[in-house]
Amino acid sequence: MIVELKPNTAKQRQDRLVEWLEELGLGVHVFEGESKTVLGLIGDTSKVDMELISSLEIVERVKKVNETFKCCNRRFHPDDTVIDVRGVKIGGGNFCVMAGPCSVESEEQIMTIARAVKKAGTHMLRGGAFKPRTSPYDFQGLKAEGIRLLIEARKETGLPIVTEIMSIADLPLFEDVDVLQVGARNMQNFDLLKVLGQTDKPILLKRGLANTLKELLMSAEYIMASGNERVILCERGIRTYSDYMRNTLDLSAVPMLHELSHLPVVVDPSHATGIARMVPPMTLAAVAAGCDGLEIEVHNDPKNALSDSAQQLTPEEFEKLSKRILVVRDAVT
Amino acid sequence: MENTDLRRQIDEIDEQIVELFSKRMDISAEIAAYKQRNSLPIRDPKREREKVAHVLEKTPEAYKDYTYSLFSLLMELSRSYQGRLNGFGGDVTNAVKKAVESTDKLFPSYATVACQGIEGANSQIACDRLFKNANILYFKDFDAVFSAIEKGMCTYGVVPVENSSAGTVNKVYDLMTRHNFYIVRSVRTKIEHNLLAKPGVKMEDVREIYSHEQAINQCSKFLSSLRGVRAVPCENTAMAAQMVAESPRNDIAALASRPCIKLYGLNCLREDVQNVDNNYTRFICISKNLEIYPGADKTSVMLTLPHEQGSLYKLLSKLYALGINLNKLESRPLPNRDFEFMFYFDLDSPVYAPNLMQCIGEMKAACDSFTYLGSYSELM
Ligand SMILES: [Mn+2]
Repeated sequence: MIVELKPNTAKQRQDRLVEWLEELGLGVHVFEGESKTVLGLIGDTSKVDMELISSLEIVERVKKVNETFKCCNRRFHPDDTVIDVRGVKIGGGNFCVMAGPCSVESEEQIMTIARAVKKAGTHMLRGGAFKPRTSPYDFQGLKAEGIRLLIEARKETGLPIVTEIMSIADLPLFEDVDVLQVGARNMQNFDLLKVLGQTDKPILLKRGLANTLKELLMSAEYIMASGNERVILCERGIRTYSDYMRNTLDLSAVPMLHELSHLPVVVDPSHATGIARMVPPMTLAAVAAGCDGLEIEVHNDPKNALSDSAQQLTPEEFEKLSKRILVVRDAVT
Repeated sequence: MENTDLRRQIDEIDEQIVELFSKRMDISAEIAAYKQRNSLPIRDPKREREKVAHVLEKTPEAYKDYTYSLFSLLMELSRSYQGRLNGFGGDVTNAVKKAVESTDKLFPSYATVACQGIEGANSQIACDRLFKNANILYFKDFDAVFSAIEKGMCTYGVVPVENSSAGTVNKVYDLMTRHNFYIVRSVRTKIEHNLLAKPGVKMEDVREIYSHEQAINQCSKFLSSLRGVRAVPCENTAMAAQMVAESPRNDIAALASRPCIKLYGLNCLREDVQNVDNNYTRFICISKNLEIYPGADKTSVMLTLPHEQGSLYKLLSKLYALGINLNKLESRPLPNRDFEFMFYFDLDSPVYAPNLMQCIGEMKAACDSFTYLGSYSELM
């Protein structure tokens, strides 16, 4: 249920209404926008007297919300959410590119790539330290050492760092990481989501490869309901019967997620296509679809990369693409 | 037969009557205890009807009227006795005792209060007199004010019940039967109506005057002195002022309180246009819980009477017998029932007076339904 308040409602009146709703055992999500204040009610609203609330002079209107996701619902929060990561903003018209290798492999590798993507104008550095690989015999990442190297790269370039967390047990290692990524395979690891909801870190939540948008939003809801409202949604391709590419990039998810939710939406064309030469056109298409940011894999020596070698761009290719991103972005905004 | 002999016979019968009457009252006391244990009302109309029908059947035609009177009185006395027994230590008495002990000695100075209307409404003036610092939540109608306290959104509610020139606020009295609440205080505020219009609008421009129906009644003399001006009733006086302020029209005015001048940026065309100068409105302050503050000298009750001759008279005579003064007696027809009324009594007695509790006990016994609405004092 949503309660829209009249503009210029006295604070103490609003506070009393919120307090009363909380006394009824409801969660109250207060959105204070520039033009209006909206109270989003979470919990069993069946026992709430809608008529009584409607008859309050400070109330503009009361609406029922049928969707099961509340915190991430745009109706609870009409304005776009803007997430600030060490001064880098994403969402609400702020565009953010995250680039870097699939896996952190060595100090030299990550430093080289970090310098290159910084030069190309990227906003954040990505890099895997804990790797969710399909085969247990594949490279599993440098783990704690990988995170240490990312922090080193941040020291030099100033780029905030994004890296994936796979297990709750690893959380202490991520204390100095800027954005925690939840991978596609962990999208419905609800215990992990709940724990991340108790942190104050922005979470980059990737859509599972066989998950619906509603399921993605429900996962965001898990994080937000636990108290962390800084969630970035990421479309990274889903499994369909389309062959020749790793996944099918569901670009229609971008405008739909924007309609359903106020959270920033990022697109990962690297994992969606799995083929480096498919990355630039799909990147530009994603920008045209109105995404708030991109996550792109870049490697100084893709052929010899320890993971995802087929899909990583070279620094030169990435620099070229970065310029074209700006052109498309200009054209559509 | 000698006259003395007849008298002797009467004496004998009377002795038996006294003996039987005492026995009857003893059993009546046992029934009272049974009713108390099982939370049953003292009055049982079905039983009384059957009783009267039964005794009348056995009575020779010539005495039927007398028998009827006798048994009406007998049952009346029996109920009165049961009421006294159960009334003392009855639920109302206990609740009152508990409330007197547990209520703070001072009336709160801060509270969340429900009022009907919008900022500048007369309820606000009453509210400001009751509380030093009230967080007022305004509601569209009186019904919502009652609901807001019942459901705990607001601790108190302030509603008007009576106006010296326009009479009772019927809507509020009718709502009392549909909600659970107690009266914890009342206040009289002097009501002044002023004719307000947008700056630049002159007296002679005004064609329509908006206000609450009661305010229009209260200013009837002033309004009839104006030629070609129509009075239009609306929700309340402050809403009238707001509407006039926001309307593009330059030929309308509102009858409203002084705070509305500043609140809505209006100009005062005429001050104090009400019929009489001592025009006041009485407001009650209601709460979900029974609270009785020191100095409570008024008690309000709400009741329905048996649908029979003289029931109101009998009730009033009880008050007279106990020396309790009646401040106000209001009656409102009950919806969907022909000629049946809800009565509202304001009793004038300190809440600590023992005869008040006796009175309540006896009233309860004589009524079909009885609701204690609280004991309080009035701010003048
Ligand atoms: Mn990868």
